[in-house]
Amino acid sequence: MKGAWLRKLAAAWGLTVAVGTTEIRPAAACAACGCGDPTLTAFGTERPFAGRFRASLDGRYRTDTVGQARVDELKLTEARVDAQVAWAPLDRLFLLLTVPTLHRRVEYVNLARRSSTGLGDVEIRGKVFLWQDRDFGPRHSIAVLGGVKLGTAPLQRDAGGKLLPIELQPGTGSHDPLLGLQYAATLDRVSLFASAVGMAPTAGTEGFRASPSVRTTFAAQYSFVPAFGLRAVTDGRLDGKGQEDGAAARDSGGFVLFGGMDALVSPVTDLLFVATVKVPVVQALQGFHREGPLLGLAVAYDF
Amino acid sequence: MAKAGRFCVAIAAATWALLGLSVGACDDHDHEEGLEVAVALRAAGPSQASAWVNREGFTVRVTEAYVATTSVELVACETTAFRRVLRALPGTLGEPLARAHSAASPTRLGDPVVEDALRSPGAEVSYGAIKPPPGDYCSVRWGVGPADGDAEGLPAGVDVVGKTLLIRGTYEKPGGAPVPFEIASRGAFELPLTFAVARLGEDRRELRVAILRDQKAWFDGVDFEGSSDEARGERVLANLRAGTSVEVR
Repeated sequence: MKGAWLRKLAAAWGLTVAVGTTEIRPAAACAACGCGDPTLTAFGTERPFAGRFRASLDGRYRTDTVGQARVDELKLTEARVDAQVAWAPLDRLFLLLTVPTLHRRVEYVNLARRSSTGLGDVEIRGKVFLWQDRDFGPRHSIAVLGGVKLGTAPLQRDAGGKLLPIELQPGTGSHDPLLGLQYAATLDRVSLFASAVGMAPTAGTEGFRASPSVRTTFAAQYSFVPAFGLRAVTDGRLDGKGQEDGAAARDSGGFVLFGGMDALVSPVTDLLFVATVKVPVVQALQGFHREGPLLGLAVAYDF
Repeated sequence: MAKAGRFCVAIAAATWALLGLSVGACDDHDHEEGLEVAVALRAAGPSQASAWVNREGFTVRVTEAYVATTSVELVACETTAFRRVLRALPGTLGEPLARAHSAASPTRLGDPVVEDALRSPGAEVSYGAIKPPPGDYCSVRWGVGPADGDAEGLPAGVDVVGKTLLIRGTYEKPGGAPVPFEIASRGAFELPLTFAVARLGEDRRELRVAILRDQKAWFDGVDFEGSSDEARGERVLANLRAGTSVEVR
């Protein structure tokens, strides 16, 4: 009973709203901004059983301001839905496929407004459990995470066939590898999670290259009852400089830290809803760049 | 897993995938124009077919005339006299001491253009569109200077590169014979031209600005026989500056 309850908590733990990623051009909108470990939505933290299958829809909303006021400032609003399927062919291996859809709206300094909706870049990730403290009912585990974001998003064009600006493109047109480590602990009603993932973007659409980054997540969850829990989360992102037209992008690079809360609700077995609110608590971003709060709502089901 | 269970899993997985992909298939984009100020250059004065008679009594017939515009900047209304003084000083209020070719910003067009000053009187040359932030605007700053090799409108067969003004034609003293001349200037200036406050924002998103050159007095004060080439060029450039105004619609 307790084991089943803990597994349910762990499954609930697997659902979170992670901040989206999109690529931007400095003085455009940040395309690769956002924070958090998106695998919490579909992987969970516990070691899976072979054959486990989970599907989820992860919706996120964020805002971003890039550029100098009254000169080249862009205000981005982004709504994103990630359709995710996770499958464990082995009990130590979990695979994740993410197909995002993005709606981006940009307001320019002269009050011009443009928006676009389309498929984003598909992402494939794999998680391999390296260690756990005991075979049955592990309390601590460590896993390595690897994957790639593929430049599959269709290029968006206007009615005349001209490419839309990079800030309106739902993808980067680049194949970006990533690698990271995760730690999870389950202690009675409390669950802990820590993650650090590095991404190394390659050159993409129109020579743009997003910032290389390291993203960290630290989370602590308390389950009041099996059907409800609250999770405190801090997400950090450390960016290098992006590249635009062969030069370092002015408004790229720096550090941002988000703090927030997730509410997890599991009304019936194997079904989970997660609502998220995160706000930037530390912004040390270079150039003219400010990120706004993040809102999220996700639903997942274990088959 | 029982056969029925596997079937349910397959249906559910397909539903999830289709749901995600159907949302993504809604490929769409939208565009709303922002604030825009169209800038045009217009000349008024004698054309190639007519003749100037200046105050000194010379009859001037012009066969070629070119003017190089280097920039047009939309200037917000200054709220204090202190800021007006600062703006008059180069290097303050963010203004660079020197402007590079094509130095542009949301309120400035910086691409050099060479105009044929003898085109049909009243005919306009479109200089471009400024896309400024919302605000109150009271003037434009018209810049002229030597054309470079990248300037738009360079005439074929005429070397205007390095010149702000190039005029060729003939002059006649009363009762005299036509004498060919060439006046060239490499001078530069930025001329502020004020107009009634134009508030740009959600309620007014368009403005049309025309830089008007009255060329009738171009040769006033020019002594074709008693002054140097440089002095004649400076005199015509000064007359060009004095005869320029702005029209806003």
